[in-house]
Amino acid sequence: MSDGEELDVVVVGAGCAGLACAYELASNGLTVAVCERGDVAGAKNLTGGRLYLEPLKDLCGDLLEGAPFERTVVSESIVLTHGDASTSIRLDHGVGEDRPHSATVLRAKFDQFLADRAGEKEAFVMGEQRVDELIREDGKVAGVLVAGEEVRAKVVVAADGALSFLAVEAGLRKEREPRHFGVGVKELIKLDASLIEERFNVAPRQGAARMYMGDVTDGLPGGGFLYTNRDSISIGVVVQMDAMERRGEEDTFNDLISRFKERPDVAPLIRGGETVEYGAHLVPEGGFDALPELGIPGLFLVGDAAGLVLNTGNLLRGMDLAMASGVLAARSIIEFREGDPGCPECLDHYKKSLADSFVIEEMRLHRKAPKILSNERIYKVYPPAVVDMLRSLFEVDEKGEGVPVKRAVKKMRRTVGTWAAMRDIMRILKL
Amino acid sequence: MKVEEKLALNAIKNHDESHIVLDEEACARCETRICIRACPAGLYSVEPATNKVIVDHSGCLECGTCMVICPLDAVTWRYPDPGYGIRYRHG
Ligand SMILES: Cc1cc2nc3c(=O)[nH]c(=O)nc-3n(C[C@H](O)[C@H](O)[C@H](O)COP(=O)(O)OP(=O)(O)OC[C@H]3O[C@@H](n4cnc5c(N)ncnc54)[C@H](O)[C@@H]3O)c2cc1C
Ligand code: SF4
Ligand code: SF4
Repeated sequence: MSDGEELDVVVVGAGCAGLACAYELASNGLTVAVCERGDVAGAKNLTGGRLYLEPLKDLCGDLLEGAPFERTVVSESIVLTHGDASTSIRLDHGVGEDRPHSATVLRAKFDQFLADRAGEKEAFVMGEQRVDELIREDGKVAGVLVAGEEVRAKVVVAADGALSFLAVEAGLRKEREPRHFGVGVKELIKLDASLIEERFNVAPRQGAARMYMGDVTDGLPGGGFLYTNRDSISIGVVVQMDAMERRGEEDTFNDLISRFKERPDVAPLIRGGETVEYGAHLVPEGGFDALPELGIPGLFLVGDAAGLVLNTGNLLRGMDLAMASGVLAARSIIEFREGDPGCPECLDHYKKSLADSFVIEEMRLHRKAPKILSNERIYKVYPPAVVDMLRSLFEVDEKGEGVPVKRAVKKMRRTVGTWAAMRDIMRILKL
Repeated sequence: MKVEEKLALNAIKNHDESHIVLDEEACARCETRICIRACPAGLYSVEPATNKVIVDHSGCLECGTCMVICPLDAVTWRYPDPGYGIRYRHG
């Protein structure tokens, strides 16, 4: 790095937010260093996951050219689970390689690609650089401390993820509250590409995404997920942290995942596969109402560090919001490059452009989601009711009688036909 | 598959020194001991002889769950020193 010389920007964290930001800045000729605590970009990062591509076309089209996507998602399912049975709704849509709507990614590979792209534009992406502290001068942030060494810059971009120690240090987040986080746990299972294509009924390079709701989380707010990668499967659960607090029994995440994998509707999909990695990461799930201030002069929060994640039950989006916020922060800094990007006006510029973008708009639109999704009835009452109703429609008992449709529906109505249930359902539909 | 077996699959370089330190006094009066169930890696346990809650930092996935969920603020937690800890090969 340019010894002693002040950089335009230091970005903390080589995740998707930080790297998209650095790429944009460096492409516009600013001097930028990215400090990453892991050995290399992506070494500490974990996602579900799939990246929604449409919202990033304008903001990151160039950066994502040639990205190592695993598979384009062409098959989507929502699965309600109850015991050894389940009900699913599936959408097979006509998106293809040429018109992907979302694609699965593995972060070690994906983040390394982004880092290489940023490097091509002459951003310095440096591993094994844990930022320990902010440098503050004259009422603003003027750089960071890495192992006691000063790295000075006109602005610091905190892209340091869900736990963001920098946001806490800057006083932007007073406390990390359990109710604002989900705990995500994931297993990666190696499986032949041809088996994946056969089992999920997809063509090469195409893939499936499945979201599970019900007893996969033991009735706790959250859900299970399954994504197909090129020659592996990502499978895991996300559970609201404060719900775990409310629960009494002894049951670990590994128990949840093991039972999930053993489900009769899941086991055949992963049969013969070999688990090669087990990881965990937090998901900021507080939504719009838990958003912190997005910075202080000289410090910009982007991505998970700013709590920019959207969870609506059937969609979990963090990576596209992270990348978009990184690019928007970069553009505000570029706008003020001739003056002082550490001034309060530059921060206001970023806040405004983020507020006008899909990032905040979507989060505001779904601001009630965290509250609605914390309702345990969604996981405990409705999946069994739906599964049981359908089961009774298809079962013939030993007396040779099937259940008349009318009776099955009536039975379901007894559980879900109450006012409380109607209210819940209306709320869910509004998500 | 036991959680220890899964952890053994991960690429990880453990530091001799723990990056997680517990406030023993708080843990002694803690009623929930929620960390034990919440840690995805199963690294928290009760030492039978002393009934003390202990954490084994080796194998840590660096998720931060224990720090955030602890009701008594008893977990002093930082990222492991550069060069140490988990290294996701897939993520
Ligand atoms: C189980 C799970 C499933 C998910 N599924 C999806 C999905 O399907 N689709 C989707 O869009 N989103 C999903 N998300 C959310 C998504 O993964 C995140 O929103 C996204 O990764 C945020 O990117 P980021 O760059 O802000 O943070 P991160 O990717 O966490 O990057 C932060 C970076 O900062 C580094 N860092 C932190 N502190 C320091 C420090 N002090 N010094 C130096 N470096 C530091 C870290 O090592 C890391 O590289 C999921 C999340 C989880 C956990
Ligand atoms: S770490 Fe926290 S939750 Fe665990 S025993 Fe100690 S005080 Fe209780
Ligand atoms: S950070 Fe996560 S994996 Fe590590 S001890 Fe805490 S809860 Fe367990």
